[in-house]
Amino acid sequence: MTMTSQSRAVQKQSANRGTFWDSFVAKVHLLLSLGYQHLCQTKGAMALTSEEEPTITGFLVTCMQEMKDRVDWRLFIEDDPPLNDDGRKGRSRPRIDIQVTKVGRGIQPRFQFEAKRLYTKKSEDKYLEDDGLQALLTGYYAKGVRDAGMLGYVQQDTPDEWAEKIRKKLDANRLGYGLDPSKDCWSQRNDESNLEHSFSSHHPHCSRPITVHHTFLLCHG
Amino acid sequence: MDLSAVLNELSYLQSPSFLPRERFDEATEHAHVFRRACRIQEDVTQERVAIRGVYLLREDPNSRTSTSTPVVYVAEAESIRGADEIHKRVWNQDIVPFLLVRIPEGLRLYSGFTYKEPGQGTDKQRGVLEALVKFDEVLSCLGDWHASAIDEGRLFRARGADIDAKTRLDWKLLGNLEKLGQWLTREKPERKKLDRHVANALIGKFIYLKYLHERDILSARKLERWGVDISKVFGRKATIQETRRLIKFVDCWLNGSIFPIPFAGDLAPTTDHLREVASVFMGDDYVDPDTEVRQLHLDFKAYCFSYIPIETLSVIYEQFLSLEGKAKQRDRGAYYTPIPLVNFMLAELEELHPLGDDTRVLDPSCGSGAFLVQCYRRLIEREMRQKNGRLRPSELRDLVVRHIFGVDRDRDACHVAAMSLALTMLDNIDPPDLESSPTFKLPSLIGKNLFQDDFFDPSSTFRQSLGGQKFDWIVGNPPWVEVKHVDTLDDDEADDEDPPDADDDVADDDAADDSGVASDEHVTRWMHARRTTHPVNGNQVAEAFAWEANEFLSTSGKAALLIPAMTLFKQGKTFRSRFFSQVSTHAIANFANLRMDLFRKVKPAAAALFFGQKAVSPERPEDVITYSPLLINQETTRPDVQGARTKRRETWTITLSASEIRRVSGRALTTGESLPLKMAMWGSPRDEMLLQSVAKRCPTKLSGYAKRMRGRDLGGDSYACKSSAGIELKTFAPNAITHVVLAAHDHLPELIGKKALFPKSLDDLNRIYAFPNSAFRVLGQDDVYLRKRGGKAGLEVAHPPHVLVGGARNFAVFSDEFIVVPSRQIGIAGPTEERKRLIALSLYLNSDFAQYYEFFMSPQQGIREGRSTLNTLGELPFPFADLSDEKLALWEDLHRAFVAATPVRWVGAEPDADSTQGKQMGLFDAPVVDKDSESLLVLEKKLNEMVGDILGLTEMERWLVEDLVRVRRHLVDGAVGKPAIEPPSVEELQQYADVLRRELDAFITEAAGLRHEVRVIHDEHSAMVQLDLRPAKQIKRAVDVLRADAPVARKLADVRAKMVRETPQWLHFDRNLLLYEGSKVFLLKPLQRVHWLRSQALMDADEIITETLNAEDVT
Repeated sequence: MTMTSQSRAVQKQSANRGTFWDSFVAKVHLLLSLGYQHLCQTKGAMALTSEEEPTITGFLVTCMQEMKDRVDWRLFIEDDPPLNDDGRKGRSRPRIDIQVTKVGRGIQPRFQFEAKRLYTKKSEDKYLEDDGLQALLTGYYAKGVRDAGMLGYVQQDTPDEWAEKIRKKLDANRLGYGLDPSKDCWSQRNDESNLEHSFSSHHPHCSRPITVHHTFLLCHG
Repeated sequence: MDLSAVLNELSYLQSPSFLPRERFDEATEHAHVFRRACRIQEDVTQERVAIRGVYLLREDPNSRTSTSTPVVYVAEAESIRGADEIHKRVWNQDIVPFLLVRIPEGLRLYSGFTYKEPGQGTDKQRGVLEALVKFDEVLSCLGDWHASAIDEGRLFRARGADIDAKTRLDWKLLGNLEKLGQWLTREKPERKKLDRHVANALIGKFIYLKYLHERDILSARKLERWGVDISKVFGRKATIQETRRLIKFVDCWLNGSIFPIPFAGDLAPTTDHLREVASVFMGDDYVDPDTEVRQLHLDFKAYCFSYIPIETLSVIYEQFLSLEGKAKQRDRGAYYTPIPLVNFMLAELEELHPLGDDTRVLDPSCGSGAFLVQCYRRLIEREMRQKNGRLRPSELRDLVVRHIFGVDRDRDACHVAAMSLALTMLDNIDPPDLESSPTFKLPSLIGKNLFQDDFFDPSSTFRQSLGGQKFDWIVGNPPWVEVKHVDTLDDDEADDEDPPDADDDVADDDAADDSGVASDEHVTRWMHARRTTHPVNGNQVAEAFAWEANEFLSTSGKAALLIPAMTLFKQGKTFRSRFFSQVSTHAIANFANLRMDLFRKVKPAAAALFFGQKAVSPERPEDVITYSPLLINQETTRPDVQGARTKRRETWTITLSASEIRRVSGRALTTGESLPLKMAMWGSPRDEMLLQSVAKRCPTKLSGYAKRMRGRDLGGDSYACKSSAGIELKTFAPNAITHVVLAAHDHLPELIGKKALFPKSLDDLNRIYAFPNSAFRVLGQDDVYLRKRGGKAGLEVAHPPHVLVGGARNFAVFSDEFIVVPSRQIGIAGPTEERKRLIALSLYLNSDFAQYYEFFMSPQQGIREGRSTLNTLGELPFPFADLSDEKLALWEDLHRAFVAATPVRWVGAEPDADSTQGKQMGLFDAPVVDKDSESLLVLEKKLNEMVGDILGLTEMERWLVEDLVRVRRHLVDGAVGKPAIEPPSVEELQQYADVLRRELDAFITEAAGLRHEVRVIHDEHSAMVQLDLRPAKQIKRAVDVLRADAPVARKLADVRAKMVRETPQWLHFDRNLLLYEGSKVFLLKPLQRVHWLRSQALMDADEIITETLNAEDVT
């Protein structure tokens, strides 16, 4: 036995995995909810109307960090971290917009959010295509995990309107998005985060099964 | 009963940990030793004898790279004599601690680490542990050697005393060589005394020749071909002429001379010298020819050089040579690497970068080649596996020539390394005398693979030959020495990397001592020239080696260097911050806690650093794996605790427990802060959070408070608040006062008649809150000479009110008296108006939190019982800065209570109330604190509560503090303190289970409606926790602690038995064994308090959450 071999995760099986992941996802979204509320209180949604995605993400992450102790101090939040998956090194590594890691011994579980601004017709495509949702579905981001998140920074219209647009697009191309053709693809999330515009889509038929949590945050006055 | 039946009875046959001789190759690092043991029959001709197998500790029986620890050899012989012959050879191998031999009458059990020739001493002294065990008594007499007893550590607890380092081959042979050396260098009436260097060369040469002879490298046919009469080399008839002839042939054949002996000139040994040595090596007692009295009995008959592993012999050589100049070796910082440590490091390296066809290995400070020999062995084993058979001599030669390189300044060491590699090669050739391969030439390694050079010498042969080449493995134990004068070199000197001219003051030859060791000139120049790009702290040479090794690494290469553990923790952080930023650090194994047992004589705190070259665009360093073994977790070598005293055992193996492996953020390391590594050793992310949150809640530090007070204009003769190390007062009798003394000292008559603290008198006391009178001495006229160099600053803190803090951190006492604070102690003084705050401070410094904080912040604490420094004290959060008078009064009341609670007992003679002489003699006239006093314990509890309250510590944070100070700290520096290893009470188990449950439930979302049910079952040695995630409504009793033999615990006991069956050696390799089964989690641990603390429950909960999140769904 060596230190290196020991430190490699031995994949175990646990019937509790689902419950623990649901709890982790709930905690992350509670943190997101508190961070967003804090952002609205300190800056106001109006101030975000014309900001670029990285700027809003930066503000949001700072606010989430400030709220961390109210949820779980063991969560570590990063803005735009490079990902070390796939053996890629240096600047060629992909970067995810927000990553929340559960700090602890061994391999640390993480939840990743990809964020997109929603303000023009083209935004829908950007949200759903290669740099957006598809990057989660193909495993370019969120490799090896069962849950990931999409954030829509709503800079025009209402979050509900954007949620409906996204849902329709997904519904229209179930095969392309790896959705189950026989089940409802879109459901309102319901946990202690109490996020108003948060939904889940389950994609069992993409490169690996994944549930994506879509949250639409109002970013205009 | 045949052997199979015996093995069956001991459950060896059913165990994957038992290797029958046909599978010896599976234990890679010991395969060569086991193979040699299989050839015992060749030497024992009178009857059939054979090693049949070996029982191992090994975590993964299916892995070839996995390290293992041999525990028991099993053998067969036809008689006691045959069994004794096997014992002798097993002892010479110095690897396996027990030997079980089946003979027709029964079984004999031996210690593999103790041996004396038959007829010398009792059975026990000879290493015979059981003279004869009848076949029907196997289980009753040999129960400690049953597979389960080895797996569960019972063998080591019950029979650990039989593994005695002092009787091991290496200790004994080294001791004998020392005695022989002393004998030869002693003046005798009948012969002259021999020069020490020549005596050592003579002994070294004879070991070498004896070894070659017994290994059949100097075979009878070879000697015959050379025409050498061996009886004139070994034995009483030895002649100088024949010995010289043999040496000449050997040197010519094996390419070079080691231990050259001056056979001519004043220093030359005489025939008498030669015969004395030769006789001893033949096993004869040296008998004075005139008196016929036996004068030197060294019992060399016990040694079978053909069984002593080469790596063991080369380490003995190196140790023996070092005896020649002990001080010199220490100055050079040469500490010899124990073989288990070498194997540990190489196994890790092989995991990081497996040996390949083109792997080139460099040891830049190779010494006698302990690392290189083991690397070479690994290469041979690898090649043999690939070729599925033995290697040809030319293949063996190619392996060493192509793969193995070393550098060392010491000529003898280089030659021993070359010899060891050559012998390793011959060890694998059959027949080893090479008579069957007449055209084969042994490689000439010196100057091509091994260089007697300074690694830092830019013009060395090494650099000229191999400069610019890269290596895939860089290994070694570089010298741990701090060089001087780096700062005094000017830049011209440092930049001058050409070899010094013959006219230079420090030319190489001048600087070299008689063993060919050069001065530190090159590394000094190197450090100076690279002081900004490759900084080292304290001019530590090992750090320079680490930097320079990186330059020689290939892009994918990996280095494993043994460095002083303090490099990771010392105050100066420039090396750490730059080095960890510029290399890719993979792992750090910190052996500080094993230092007392891992090393002989000198006890350095060592750490192994594993690193490679940094990736091209290093934006986010990867996590670093760390491992800091505690002695308590080394089941094989953990000392027994009997009463207050513990008997330490030498570490003969290192077993790696998964529960001690941590990950440290690579980014955190690049800051150079030592805290992340200290946390990995003793703490957790929770401790890190605690320190951060206290710093946030209480931003004023003690140093900040002192500074603030200093800024005030106090007027009059009030002293500003000041913290300082004390002053160095010297005593000079009137007749000793010279102008030199006066020039270096100030006489301070104002101190005459004043009290000075005498801290030595407080050594044995625990926490004290008032000084006994014996703590002082009254200063006389001769005692008040102050060293000018130290300055007078320390005098200010002699003025009351003040707090006096022990440098060893054994006391912090408030006083209203003028007391001179001696050097290495600390004083904190302030104006009278700060009196209450200083009282509060004195109590605070005695609190658990202050000790906890200092433990993590002080460089030394946690490594050794560290001293307190002003810097560390200054970093303490100071929660009293703005406390009102009213609140300070509460602290003053508590202090009063502490002082009142102290008169408990008298120590020493009770003083005569009328006698002032008694006081001057240092008898106690003040009460001594009884640390067990109930009232004091109550007060300390109150103190810790008040400190917790004032700092705003949460309940969990208080557990972290209490558990470290009251329990974990008893394991520092290899201690096995009772508070840490005693079994926990049922109440403590209950608390653990409760915290674990609460913590896990806090993570689970309420929406799930699920909660944990916790059951703990325990016996005397271990306990198992069962966690079941169930619907909250169905849980009747959330936590239950049961004895394993309780009827209600039967089902759980079955699970525990199954868990042990599946991972029989868990105690050695994972002392926090987790098993997931459906919705249940099982956790198995030893029943020692340190594993059942509330803070441990928090860490276990974190681990279970992380592992569950990383798990797969049940299929």
